[in-house]
Amino acid sequence: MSELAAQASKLVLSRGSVTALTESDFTIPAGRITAIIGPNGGGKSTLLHAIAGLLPIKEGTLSVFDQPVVGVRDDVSYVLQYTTVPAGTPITVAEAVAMGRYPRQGMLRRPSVDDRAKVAAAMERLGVTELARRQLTELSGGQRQRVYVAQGIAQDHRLLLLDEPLTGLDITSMQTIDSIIHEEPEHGCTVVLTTHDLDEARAADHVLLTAGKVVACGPPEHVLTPENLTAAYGLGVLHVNDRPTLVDDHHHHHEGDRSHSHQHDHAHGHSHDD
Amino acid sequence: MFRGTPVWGVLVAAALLTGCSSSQATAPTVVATTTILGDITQQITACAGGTSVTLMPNGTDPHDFAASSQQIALMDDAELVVANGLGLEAGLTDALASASADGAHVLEVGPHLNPLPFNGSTTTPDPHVWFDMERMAAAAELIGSTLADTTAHSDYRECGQQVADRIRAADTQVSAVLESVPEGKRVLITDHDAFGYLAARYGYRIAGSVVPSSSTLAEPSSADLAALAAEVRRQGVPAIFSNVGQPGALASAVASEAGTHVTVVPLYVESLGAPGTSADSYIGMMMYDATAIADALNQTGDSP
Amino acid sequence: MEWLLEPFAHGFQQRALLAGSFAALMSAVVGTWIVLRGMSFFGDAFVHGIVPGIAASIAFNLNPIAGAAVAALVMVFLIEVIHRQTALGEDTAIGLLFVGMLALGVVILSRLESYAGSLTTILFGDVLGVTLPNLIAEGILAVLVICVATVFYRPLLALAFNPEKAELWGLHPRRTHAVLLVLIAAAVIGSYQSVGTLLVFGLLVGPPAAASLISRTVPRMMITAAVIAVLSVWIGLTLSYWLGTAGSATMAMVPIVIFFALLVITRVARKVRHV
Repeated sequence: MSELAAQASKLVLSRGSVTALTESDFTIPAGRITAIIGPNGGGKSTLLHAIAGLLPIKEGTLSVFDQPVVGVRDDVSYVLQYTTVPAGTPITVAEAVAMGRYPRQGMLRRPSVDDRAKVAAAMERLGVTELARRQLTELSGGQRQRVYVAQGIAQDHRLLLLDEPLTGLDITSMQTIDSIIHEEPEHGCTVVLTTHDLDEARAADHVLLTAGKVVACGPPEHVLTPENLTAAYGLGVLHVNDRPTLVDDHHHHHEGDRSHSHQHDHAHGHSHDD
Repeated sequence: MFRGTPVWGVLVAAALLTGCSSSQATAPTVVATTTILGDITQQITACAGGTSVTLMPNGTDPHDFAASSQQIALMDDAELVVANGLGLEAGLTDALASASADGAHVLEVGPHLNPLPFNGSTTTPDPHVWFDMERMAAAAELIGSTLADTTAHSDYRECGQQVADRIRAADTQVSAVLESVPEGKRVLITDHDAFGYLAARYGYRIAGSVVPSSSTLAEPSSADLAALAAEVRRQGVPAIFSNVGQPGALASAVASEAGTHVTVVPLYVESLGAPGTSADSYIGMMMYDATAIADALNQTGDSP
Repeated sequence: MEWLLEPFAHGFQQRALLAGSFAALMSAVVGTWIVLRGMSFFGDAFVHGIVPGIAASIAFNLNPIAGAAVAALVMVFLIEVIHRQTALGEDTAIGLLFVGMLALGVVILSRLESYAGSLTTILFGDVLGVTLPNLIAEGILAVLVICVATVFYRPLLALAFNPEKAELWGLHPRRTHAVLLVLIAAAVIGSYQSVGTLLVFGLLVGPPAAASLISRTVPRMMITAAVIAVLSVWIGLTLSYWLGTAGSATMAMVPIVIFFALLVITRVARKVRHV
């Protein structure tokens, strides 16, 4: 209520020479679930990247927990939209989830009892404990996404960022991850997720409508009005029974299965841009 | 992982034990590096009742040759290793050093034979000492006395002397053949710069080489070859000398560029000939080369 | 048992086995990361790229290690320049430099006035000529490389897993990548004098590739790679003794044979299990 997880003023974000987000002001309340919604290419993922500390801020201000963003923080956990792991990398599910403890352990500290307990708890909550010894790259898309979310919550965090966490998943995975998201505030954590699903946004506590700029920011009923949605989506809005629905363009997701892996350059980041 | 390993081991062992017998051989008295030195050490040891082994097979380039594990083991076990030295056996430097470190007694004859520098260089010694038969006679004596000291058999000293005498006797004949070429025609153009000692000893002149370096590995540029062809034409040289057994493409190119009367004559340069040929001994090789040089340079300039 | 022991009865043979084993251990550890991150082509280019540095050092009578290090730096720098300044893929940039540097090395060697080092020796090394000082230096380097690789295990694993996550976890992927390049350079430059650049490359890629067929975790892959690598050196030296073949080339062939053997075995086992 009083505390803010993040806030921005006149924030401009660019990727290379392309401006992804123009002057935007917004706040993100602590201890709540915030959804970022908007058309593809509107800057949703870029915004998450910036909050996570992966993008340098050239213009405007952005702060997380009252500190200006200057880089990554170990109390911010970010589950990427596509975590591409090279095919054939020999790593088990348990090892992958355990990597979520790296920010706390650093390069050399041995895993403690606490570390192990948190890893086990995370796997349990995501229902992947039976998969512990399986090879990560052999799992289905939905199973892998659950592993990456487990990896994310195994990390000690105050802010959990998730980029399209439920897109393209099977029902079980979707439901499991959805309940995790809704349990976060109970632990005092803040959740910020991106989505292109209106119902998900309506179920959040706070919404950022983003279309090249944060167009509106506030509770869902104030933000997700037909006027705002039309302004953000243009002709992609249908009005059915007075309830706006989105007829969005080419969704940037893979039907049913997030099993999308390929080799990528060493040390150069790679993500699907929004 | 491999539960069948003991089985494999037995099978391979059985296969190999039936084949190998070298582990039962006794160590040779002398191991020589080049075929030329090998011929000399063979004669010395045969005379005194010892054994000699030569590392390089016939026709190998001594600059390149690298010894196998078994061969280096032989060097370790022998009483004496005889090498040319002066950088000739470039591929063996490390192996010889390693063998010395393990206790092998290595004699490099080159440095003891008053080596000459290369044509045009002031510092780099020319390793092709065997083209001077007097120096090789001295080498035979040196090998004989070193063997006598290391094995405590004084017979070796006399045997070394005998071989040296034989070489000196042959030297008289070789000199006669080479001196049959009139002074103005004693011009040598060879594959690479290996004939310095022959030129110095028997009064010849080196006018150039196809490979402008002492190493057979360097490659001439097209400018080098053109200059050489011009030189051949200018001096009216009737023959260019290549190496037996090596492709003489470059020498042939220079010869055809220089004129139709120029022939390419192969010589034995860094290795003896195959067993059965007239050059399969050191003396035989020197006679062969001397005769070939004399015949080639004595011909009149316009015979095809 | 004679046939097993005789190839190693002499000092120089024991030194060869040790030098090869040090190279094998360093290469297995560093090579595992090369294979996991798909950097094999880069590794190969690197191995050939240091040739002109070595050739120039021989020509000007300088320390070949320093020459190799300088050539390595130049190559990595030029690859980055091409990659950034043009739309060419990294593999094209690497390929260009691979050929260019190797050819430059041969040009330098061909103009040397006297024999001072051939391309064959650089490529294949002189494992039977390893001296005790060489061996000690290599041993110390092997310990250093393995220590640094162990300390950087987590950042390297994170980088191989996903560079963005590595950044998020505070593990500095760019710095880690640079450390890996230094480790590769150390393994190649530290081993080439004894076993040659070709064999070092064979050891960098062959054993980890073979190990990847039968390993489920990275530490196990590294250990399996180390075992295969040392085995290759030992088998290679034993075979080359009995067959009179070149030591380095024989050693380089063994991991490849093991790779194909494991490939066949694992695929057949899979078919049998599914029957």
